[in-house]
Amino acid sequence: MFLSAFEWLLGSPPVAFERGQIELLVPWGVFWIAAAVTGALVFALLGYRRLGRRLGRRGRLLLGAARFAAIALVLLCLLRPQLVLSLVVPQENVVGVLLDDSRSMQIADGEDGRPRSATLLAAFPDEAAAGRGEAPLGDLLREKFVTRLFRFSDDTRRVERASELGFTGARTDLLGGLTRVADELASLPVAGIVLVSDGADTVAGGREDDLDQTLLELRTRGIRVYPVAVGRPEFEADLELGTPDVPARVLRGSLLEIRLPLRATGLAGRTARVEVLDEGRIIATETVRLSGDSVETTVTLLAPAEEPGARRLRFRVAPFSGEVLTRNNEQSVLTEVDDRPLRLLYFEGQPRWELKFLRRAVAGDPELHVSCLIRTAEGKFYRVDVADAGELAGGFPDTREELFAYDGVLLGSVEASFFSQGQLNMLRDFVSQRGGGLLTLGGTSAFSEGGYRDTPLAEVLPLTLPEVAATPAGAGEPPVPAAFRELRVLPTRAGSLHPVARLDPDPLANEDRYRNLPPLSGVNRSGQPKPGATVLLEGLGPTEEPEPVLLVQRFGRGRSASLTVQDLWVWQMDASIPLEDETHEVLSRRLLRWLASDAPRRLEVSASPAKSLVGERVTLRARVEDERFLAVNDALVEAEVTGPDGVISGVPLRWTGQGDGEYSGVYVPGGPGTHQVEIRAAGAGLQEGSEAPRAATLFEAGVVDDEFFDAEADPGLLGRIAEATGGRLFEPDEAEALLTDLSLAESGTTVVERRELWNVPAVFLLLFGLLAADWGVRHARGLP
Amino acid sequence: MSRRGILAAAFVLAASVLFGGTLLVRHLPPALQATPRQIREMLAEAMREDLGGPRFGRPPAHDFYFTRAAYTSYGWRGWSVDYPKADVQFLIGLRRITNLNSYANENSVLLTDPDLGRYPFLYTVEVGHMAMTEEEVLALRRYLHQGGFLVVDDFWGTAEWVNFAHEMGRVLPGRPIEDIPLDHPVFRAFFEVDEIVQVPNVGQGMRGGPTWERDGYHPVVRGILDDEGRLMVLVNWNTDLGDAWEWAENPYYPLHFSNYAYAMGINFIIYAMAH
Repeated sequence: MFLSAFEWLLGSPPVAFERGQIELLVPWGVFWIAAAVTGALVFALLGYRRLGRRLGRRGRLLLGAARFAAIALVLLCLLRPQLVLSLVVPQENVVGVLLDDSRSMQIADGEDGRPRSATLLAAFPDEAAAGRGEAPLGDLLREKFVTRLFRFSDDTRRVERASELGFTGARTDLLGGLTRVADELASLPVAGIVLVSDGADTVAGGREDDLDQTLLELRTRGIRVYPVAVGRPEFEADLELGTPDVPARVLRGSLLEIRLPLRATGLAGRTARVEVLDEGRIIATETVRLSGDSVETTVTLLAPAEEPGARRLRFRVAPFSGEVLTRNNEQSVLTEVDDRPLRLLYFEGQPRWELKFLRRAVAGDPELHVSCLIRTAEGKFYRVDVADAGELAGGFPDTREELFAYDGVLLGSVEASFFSQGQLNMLRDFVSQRGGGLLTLGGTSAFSEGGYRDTPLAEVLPLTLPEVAATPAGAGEPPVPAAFRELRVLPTRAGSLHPVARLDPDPLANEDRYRNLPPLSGVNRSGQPKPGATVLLEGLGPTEEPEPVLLVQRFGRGRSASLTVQDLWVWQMDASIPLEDETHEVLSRRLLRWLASDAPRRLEVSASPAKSLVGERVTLRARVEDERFLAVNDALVEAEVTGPDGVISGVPLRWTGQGDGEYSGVYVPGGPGTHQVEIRAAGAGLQEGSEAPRAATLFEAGVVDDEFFDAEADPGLLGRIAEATGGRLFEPDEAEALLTDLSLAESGTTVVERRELWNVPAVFLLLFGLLAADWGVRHARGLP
Repeated sequence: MSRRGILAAAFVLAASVLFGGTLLVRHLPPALQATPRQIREMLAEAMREDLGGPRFGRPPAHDFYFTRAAYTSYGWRGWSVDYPKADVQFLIGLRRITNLNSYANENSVLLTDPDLGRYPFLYTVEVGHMAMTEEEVLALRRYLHQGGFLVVDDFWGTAEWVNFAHEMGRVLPGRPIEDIPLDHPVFRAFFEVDEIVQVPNVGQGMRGGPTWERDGYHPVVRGILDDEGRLMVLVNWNTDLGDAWEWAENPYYPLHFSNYAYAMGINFIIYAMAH
């Protein structure tokens, strides 16, 4: 409204005044102009001199000024002011038109449920529209410019007409599109680029610098970008599932810990039920109360991983009424359920019931193999569940090869002085470098009481070790430890959400489960959790001061956990425990699985992106280590990629030179579906033949659905592009205005146009107004 | 004395016997006045009073308690034979030979004690006279299914076996009592045991008499296994390990019996604590 009024009054739109220059055609000298102005002033003042007394000082001044302004205006018009514009020559210039062909254009958030694509197609019809109403943007452009149409999504391509667009692109790469158009039109006179998009870019994230650079280049070349924003910047009601955070590999029978980001708009106070599906079967659900607008919350889900192999887990929330976009209520993620048993070593410094009942607890778990070594007397060991006669035959391992073959180590009641310094260092490296898990159990010879305070293992533990008085050495009745106390064990808040300690999905029911269990006992002086540790279970002793019972933390590449009580087995044997109760079994298995399941193997492989487009480069990365878990840089690494059609292709992986033991190679999927990757490494330091390390992973091609996530139109980004290049952001119904802007190009083939300004309605109206005011005042006062 | 006098004397005698007898019975210990059922209850009560138990309350402050199972039996307190000397002497050996953090004293517990589960190792003897109450049967069944381990010792001959087998049939119905072959890991958990020896009672052992009692000529080690093939009950029949521990310090008691008995006892415990 304002703009059209402006244009009517001044004969040209504001942008013309912005870009053009105002010049005076009659080149009067400064002297003559000054003389004329002075003359006008004198005339104006003298004209009212006679009437001075009847008017008063103020009225005289007012009338004088009006008359002076009118004369000055006429004088100005006599000077013939002109607006000098640089206008494109019709059909001599090219306009690059970038049309968003991504799937987010299918979102029907327009009026009457019109999809964004319909708005785009209406603006660029194939045939020129027959004169009714305002002509579509496409027609207007064609009349004046040579248009070059490009479709863009994840790639950019020339098209002849907009109807060629299918709106099926899996990504929106604005940056790629702009770069491509600018390159393609480099040798032509370009009036500008029209960008029709919802602005929901799915690629630019993290490439801000590249985007700024490209925009600067366009500006330097004088190419303005005129984005036309389609779609709504915010949905009225929408729930969006973010990318789930799921471990790439999980042990069969474990609970899979999934963190799923949720973002809700306009649904505050409603509840959403998140379902996790594996092959159409619901394996976990969680109900969440949605909070304020557009605030991201994370839901933690625990789902059982039962079927081995590559699993595609789907997440979904039933659409709410009024939700425009329901495709983002679903997510999917790939994970691998591994059925290779984990190998753990449990070392006890003396026979203890803890070992017996832990063995029994994990006996039914095919994925856990615990080799036990018990020191039954000084220098005498009893081995149970060893794989062969050679395993642990020499007592506790004293080489890296032997120790690092395990994924996890449990230390029971064994004093630190049993180990050599080398073994203690090796145990620390086992966690920090090899990435294994270490679980330390409470007992008369554990923690501070076992003399671990000043050893390398103290670093690894998730709790600090308090100082204790040295136990008097010598035989005889072992003293009842002074720190002996019963502890009622309860989960912490973190414990109620952790896959190890969560016995019931409902936090209150979970706490009740623990409340009903008999107390356990501790004999070690309680330490404080370290800053990076998470306390999952805590115990209330006679002092009612909670102390950590089960704590976990990461240490280097591996995990460290401490169970400070000495008799978890009581939860199996106590009279109050029903025979069918599985608490002890479940806790023990979960703890050991959690401890060791993340331990890296000697050969690790990953594919990125895990969800790719067909024809997109997928980088296969491998990390190769020898038996001592030291990186190998000169191995022969080859990947075999098996496509969904069963065709196998070999991809050699080469050392990247950037990190020790890191190799990479590139594979380009030729068709959609799940691709299996198997990697083999051979070479010096890697045992050949039977033990040649192998690893497998998978990725999926052609299923990218990023477009429906974060899919609100983003006029912010489009506006930024316009501003950075000197263009302007338009709505789809501002076709004429856009054309005007485009016509005033500085680049391309242009002609100079001079527009007289003396004859614009504004001048006439102003003059008329001034004279009318003059006359009106005089008439009112009865003056001549 | 006239016939009448004899009759009168007899009457007086009978009357005084009856009177005295009545008086006597009234003052007999209650055990001699009671019905068999009452006697069993009294015994159970007496056992409860007698039992020592660990000195440190619950839960156990030591890793191991050599625990004797006290059960109801016919007539006499069979469970307490050799108690507590055998237990304490065995513990001396156990603590000297292994590094087990063991309580040094005897520890006996009723099968119906709610704390039974706190002692996952049970030793019991003279099961030939065992006559468990229904509560004891249920408690022992539950204990064994939860993971408890029972070692049975010192009962001899067919008759006692039949009684024991019957009692075990009540506890673990349908589970056979099987021979444990010498290559079973229990025989090499700590010591290598490659022969089952008949350990005689102390009298016969010191006198150098026959090692058997009744018709129990051959020593046998048998067991009851759980569904996973793990030992739940280990049975030493026709042998008396307890006496060999109890009299190990006696110079007249043959050393090789004691050595064997210690080796077996320690093996049982190490095995029980690992399996």
